Amino acid sequence: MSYVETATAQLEVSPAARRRRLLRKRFLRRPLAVTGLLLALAFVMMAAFAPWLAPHDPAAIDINALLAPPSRAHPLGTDAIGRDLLSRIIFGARASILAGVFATLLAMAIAVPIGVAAGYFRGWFDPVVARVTDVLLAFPFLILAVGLAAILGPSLLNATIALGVGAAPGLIRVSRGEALSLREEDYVRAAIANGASDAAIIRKHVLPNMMNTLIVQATVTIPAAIIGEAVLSFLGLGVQPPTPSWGVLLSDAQSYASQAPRLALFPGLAIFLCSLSFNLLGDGLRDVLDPRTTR
Amino acid sequence: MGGFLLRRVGAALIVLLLASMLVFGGVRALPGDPALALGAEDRDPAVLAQIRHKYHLDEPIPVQYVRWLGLALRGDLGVDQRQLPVAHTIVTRIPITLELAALAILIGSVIGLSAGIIAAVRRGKASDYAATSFALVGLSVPHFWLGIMMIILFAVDWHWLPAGGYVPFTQDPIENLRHLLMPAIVLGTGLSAVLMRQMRSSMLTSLDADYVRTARAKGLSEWSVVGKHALRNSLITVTTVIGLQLGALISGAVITEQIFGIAGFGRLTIDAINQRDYTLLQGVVLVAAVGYVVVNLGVDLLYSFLNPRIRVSGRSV
Repeated sequence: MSYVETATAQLEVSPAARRRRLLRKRFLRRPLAVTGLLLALAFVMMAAFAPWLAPHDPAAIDINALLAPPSRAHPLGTDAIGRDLLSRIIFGARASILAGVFATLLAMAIAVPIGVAAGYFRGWFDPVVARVTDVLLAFPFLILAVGLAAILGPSLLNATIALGVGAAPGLIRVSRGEALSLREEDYVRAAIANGASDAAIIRKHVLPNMMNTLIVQATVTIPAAIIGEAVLSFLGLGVQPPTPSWGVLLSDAQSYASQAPRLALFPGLAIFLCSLSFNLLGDGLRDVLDPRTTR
Repeated sequence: MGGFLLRRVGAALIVLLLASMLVFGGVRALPGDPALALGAEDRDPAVLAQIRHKYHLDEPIPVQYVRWLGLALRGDLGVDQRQLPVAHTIVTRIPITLELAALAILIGSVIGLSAGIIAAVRRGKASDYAATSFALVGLSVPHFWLGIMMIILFAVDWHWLPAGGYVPFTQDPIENLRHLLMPAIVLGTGLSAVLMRQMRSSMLTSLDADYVRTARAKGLSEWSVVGKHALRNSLITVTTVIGLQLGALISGAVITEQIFGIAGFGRLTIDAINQRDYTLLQGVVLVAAVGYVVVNLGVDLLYSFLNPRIRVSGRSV
């Protein structure tokens, strides 16, 4: 292909597709971000395919192997009543991933409409939203989540709701700030001058332009919710035993700290790696999506 | 400056008033009847009605709220299920958590700031990568797990440090520190990671600034360029970050105290929830919110004092 032909071929690609390709290239150039993405995907797969991946039923009791050390049959050993630790960790990923992802989605579903409405329309609604978020932010995230979980009663669903609602105030503040600055942009003013409706402006200009920030916020909220779920379950306010969750496993492990420290080591490692993977991914996305990034 | 101060304090007061309503309403929304809890074994309707009357539980919620707020403003937070004054219990628990938090801030700042400075000065070198990875690990590690593993290693296996509990400083300073060392490290890890990242990025900005180039051009030593010019300007941002991290510290103290069996303010919160002790819980949460708002107000004012530009632009808003 001659030089001219290559140039024309490139011109035919839409700007959006060219931007996507550039972002993909930038992302793939960051080994830590790629590792984070692969690791996060691995945890999601682990949660989705737990019944096929786990060597044993997570509730099955092996009476001949109480607190058994790692062996061929039980790669990470067994707990105090002879349940396979590896299988329980694999099944435990379900609670963590579900809580992490759905709490984040819930927080976004609450925060983005409220934040955008407040920042875009201003009026009486904006100061009200600003004050209410100030009030909610006066309660530390975990205290808010613990309080909500206590009101709702202990279960995975309620823990997820508590974490989602608890994470919402911070996200409301972020999306309000974004909407506030975007509405002052020239292209939004031009659209208003052209008589575009508010709904169209929000859909076409405001939301797409705050997508980058929202994506990065989501990758920060997911690990916070994953650790939050573990904390709530550890405190007895989340997943209830015998259902395995990493927080429940850690809570059970405390009584056997001296005989079998691995019971605490491995579930904790799982929480750590899972939250690390989303943090790596988030850091990478932040760099890639930052317009000042040139590489 | 006077107007600015008034406006900030006014906003904080409004936030606190709304927060107190939320606390009162939220605690009322908890499942379980407080009269049943107070009546213990007694389920006789007449006795329960008497209890409700005695504790004003039969009044409309807004009336209860105003009564509660009026008493709270005078330092009376009521009595808990064991008939102990809530305000007194909180006052005895707070110093323990404050000491823990102070140690955690000390450890977190020393590690976080020095790692951040080293990473910025030696940008792109091995020590930068080491410090950056440390921060990433510190942000991702679940702190309560870190606490459990430290107890297993340093207390159960090696017997270096006590596994939990608390000894007052006035009783035995050495034992006091030995008991608080592990919890403070656990609580300080997250802070050190956040501070390291903040310090690194503000130092990098400062090191690129014109005044640093001028200082270098004047032939000042590298030590004085970094220490006097770049560092001083970076510290302003870092002060606010420590203030903003206070919420995370309070959350962290709840779980850290739970793991290390320290009877502080955080442990009191969990106990109040587990025992469904309404009066205690609303007192604890109210005090936490007041503390958070007051510290952030202080940080706000300190920041505007350190950075006059905020003060000026704050007036025009």
